[in-house]
Amino acid sequence: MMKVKLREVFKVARPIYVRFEVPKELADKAYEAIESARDTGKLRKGTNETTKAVERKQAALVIIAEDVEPAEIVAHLPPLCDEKGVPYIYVPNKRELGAAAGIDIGAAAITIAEAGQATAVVKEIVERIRELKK
Amino acid sequence: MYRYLRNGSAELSKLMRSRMREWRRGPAIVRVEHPTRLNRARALGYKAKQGVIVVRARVRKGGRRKVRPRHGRRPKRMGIRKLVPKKSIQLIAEERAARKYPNLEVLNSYPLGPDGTHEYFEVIMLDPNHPAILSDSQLRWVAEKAHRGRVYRGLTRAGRKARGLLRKGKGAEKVRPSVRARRRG
Repeated sequence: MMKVKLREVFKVARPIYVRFEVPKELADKAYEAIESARDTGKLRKGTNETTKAVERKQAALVIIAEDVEPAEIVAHLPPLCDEKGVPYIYVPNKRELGAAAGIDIGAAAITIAEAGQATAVVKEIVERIRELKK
Repeated sequence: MYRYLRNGSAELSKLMRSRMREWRRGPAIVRVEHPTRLNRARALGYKAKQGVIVVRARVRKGGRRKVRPRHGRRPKRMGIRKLVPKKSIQLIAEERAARKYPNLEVLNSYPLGPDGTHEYFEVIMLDPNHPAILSDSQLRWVAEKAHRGRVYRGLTRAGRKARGLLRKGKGAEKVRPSVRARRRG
């Protein structure tokens, strides 16, 4: 019984690397942006590629999944993005994030390097994030 | 890439503490989906493939637990306190993980940290019968007969450390090939 209770508690709690809450429609918009950037722009898939892209400032938007276990895998991304001035956003599910990027498995983080036709959507998301962070 | 994982911050240690709260209440030996310290696990030979398993083990802190003798002797001769086993707690954790999973061999292990009463380790284990291991040129050795039950014979790194085999030359004159073999000779 104790176990079930604890698990509920941990589900409610936000992972430590999630610094602000993202409303559902904004997360959906992020998926949308990834999908159109996948075809017309350039994506970087996975935490390692994302880290490299951010370090080289080749990222328009970083998308991080909220259900990454263990959290250490992506915990460095928010501070790194802040340092490099790259906007980042969270989406609830790593499986859906991978699917949006067109891969068969989950992805802990995705980077939109070149937005392509999604430029307008990315711009809008970045604006919304700026407000959320305040 | 993994240097970001190495940076210990106050946030991460807080995360570790909240994890231990859960681990304390869970089973002592439990399989985990992904290594908690990915950089350390990979350095020790972990690969994200079938046949490579990570197990978290919880072992009590401190020295040997010994029953107090029933018959009288002076306090010094009681022989209860300050007795410590010759194995490290890490090696005990490895052995217990191996006992729980008898078809697997222990590759290596690393500490996750202590709480008030326990120490926690993650043990990397290999399945010597798995085709994915048998076709991996770096891990195939574990299927050889010479490595059967390697943790029980002190052949893992924690075991070799307990046997004094991590030193060479001065100070290690009597540890090779093993302490007992040297004593007999």
